[in-house]
Amino acid sequence: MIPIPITGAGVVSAVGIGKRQSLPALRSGTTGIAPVRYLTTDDTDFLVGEVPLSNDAMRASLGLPADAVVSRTSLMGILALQEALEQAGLQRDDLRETVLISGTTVGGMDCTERFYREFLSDRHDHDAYVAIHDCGASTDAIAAYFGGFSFATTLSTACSSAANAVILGANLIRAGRASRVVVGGTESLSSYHLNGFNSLMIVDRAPCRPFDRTRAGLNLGEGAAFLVLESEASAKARRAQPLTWLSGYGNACDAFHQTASSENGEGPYRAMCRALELAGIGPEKVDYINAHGTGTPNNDASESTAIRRVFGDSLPPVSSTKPFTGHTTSASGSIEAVFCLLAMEHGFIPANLNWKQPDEACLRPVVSLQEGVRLRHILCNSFGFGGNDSSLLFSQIG
Amino acid sequence: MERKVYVKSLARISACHPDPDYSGMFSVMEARRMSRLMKRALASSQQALSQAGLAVPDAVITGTGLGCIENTEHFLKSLTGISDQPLRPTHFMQSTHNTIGSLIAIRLGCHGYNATYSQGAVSFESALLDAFVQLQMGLLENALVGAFEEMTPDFAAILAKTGRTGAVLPDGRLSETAVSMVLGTSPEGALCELAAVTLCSPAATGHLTRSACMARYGDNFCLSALGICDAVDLLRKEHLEMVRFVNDHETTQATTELKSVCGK
Repeated sequence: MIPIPITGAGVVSAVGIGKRQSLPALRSGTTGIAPVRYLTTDDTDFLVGEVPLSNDAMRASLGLPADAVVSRTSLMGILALQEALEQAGLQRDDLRETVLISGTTVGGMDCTERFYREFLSDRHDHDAYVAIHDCGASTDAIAAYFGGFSFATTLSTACSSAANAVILGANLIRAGRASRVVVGGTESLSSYHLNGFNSLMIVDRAPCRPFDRTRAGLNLGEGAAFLVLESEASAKARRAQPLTWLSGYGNACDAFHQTASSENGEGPYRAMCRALELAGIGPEKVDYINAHGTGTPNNDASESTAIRRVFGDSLPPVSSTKPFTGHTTSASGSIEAVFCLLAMEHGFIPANLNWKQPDEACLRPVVSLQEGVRLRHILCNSFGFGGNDSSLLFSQIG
Repeated sequence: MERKVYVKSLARISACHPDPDYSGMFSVMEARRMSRLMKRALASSQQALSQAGLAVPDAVITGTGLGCIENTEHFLKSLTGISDQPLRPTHFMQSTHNTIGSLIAIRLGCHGYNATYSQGAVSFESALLDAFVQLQMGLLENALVGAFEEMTPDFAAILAKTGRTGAVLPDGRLSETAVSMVLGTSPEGALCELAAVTLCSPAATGHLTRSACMARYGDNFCLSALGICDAVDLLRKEHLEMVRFVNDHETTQATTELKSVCGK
């Protein structure tokens, strides 16, 4: 495929608001994972990666009224989108030719779980929140804040939602259906999915340790990130400077189990192969893999097997940034994509924090920060429940 | 050169299209674990694939506005203490929107492209657009595209509080949708051509509209999928050259154009 220019990126996560706060955290190995601070939940024992702002603080910084009916998912999405549009130099009038594609699964669940008892009663105080429950409504709220997108849609493939939003956007550009797309995902923590993941016994109450022999589960996180992708012609016409290029992508289904990953990593294997094939490069060209690496025994073993199948004996450096942010579920694909862009621009590989003991079933990740490296091609993995596996390839051109 | 895209087959379950006999389709264990929506999704997918003479599609692309709302409610009720049932992991893992599309893929052993859209009233058109573009580009030869929406008495009551009463039909039944469609790039045996899918198009005139479909099917996020099936019926029954379906939902709009494959 002809690589697609990326002309803007924005991110919010537990390691900070914007790229400016994220970069020093990633370099210094400063995690954003901490005890629950903002989430309303009975069980405050969990370690989570929360975006360090309350909903009120986000409303205020976005100039929204204090009583605006808006979910945390949308608020974080607006913050990240704002940064991406600013960097791309896009004004409101430019959005008419721009498609918004977001990924989320939680949507307005953080509000629904708070008001659900009331929804079922005769009280009407929070009825307005019913309309913002569904995933699409959270994207509509983001679109409405900026106004004027040509249309908006929402992917909901659990933890690969944002990566799949990037893929749809890329296909729309390649097909000539859009000259510009803003793609990514946003997901707030909710008591619903924190308890859900915990009921599946894949949440670790200690800091997560992807690829470590003692790994015992994930820490949940939250956040949002968006990328501006545009056709070469659109970027040239606006004299927009590409940060980097999307050169390949793959989406495949593990078709194995609704939550578990297959032992041979068939889905991840196919997704990575497809991304390389589309880019027309061999695996030896990949300089770094930002792994899905959640810290669950099953995911990390399956992903390691898949990576070994693709790369054989010469694995490129691999790390998971989930010990920084927690697993940001639907948003992880775009948040980690922005981290890859930062790594490429500044020539570093973030460390896979908390790794100590090798595991035969797993690859050995990069455990300390690598500086001064040239990263021409970076593969970024996102795998979701249901075996919805996607892989994105970012490349420096020229 | 863009390829043409055809509707090869379709299967549906709605207020006007009764459930098939599920006995024999699933093992006792499977049947117990599966929600009504999942049974419908699997049954309609299988029917559409058989009609199209396809065993495993290149892609499974689905749309759903609320996802598996029944399992979501079970989990929410345990979480908020409304029910004394303990939190059940099955309810959680079967409450994500993509659980339907992934279950279809698991059942078919389909490792191909798999995606789920949840964009309110244009969830189905979003799925259709994804498939349409990839088929046109030649990235796919065929695709199984579905729209799946279920409703519960509790959620219907919640919607009614906010003035949305269409979730319940006049006879008391709930408005639900299960539509499976096989799209492909070869015209052999096609029901019609899928000529255009446009999201948020300026208000076009349609032969059929979403709002007009409400009288038959009630209102749910995947209503437009039933409307598009009706548009296929209309095109074929009336021997029309082209039929345009307009999704005239108040917040999001879409237009779908179907063309006849006969008499050319």
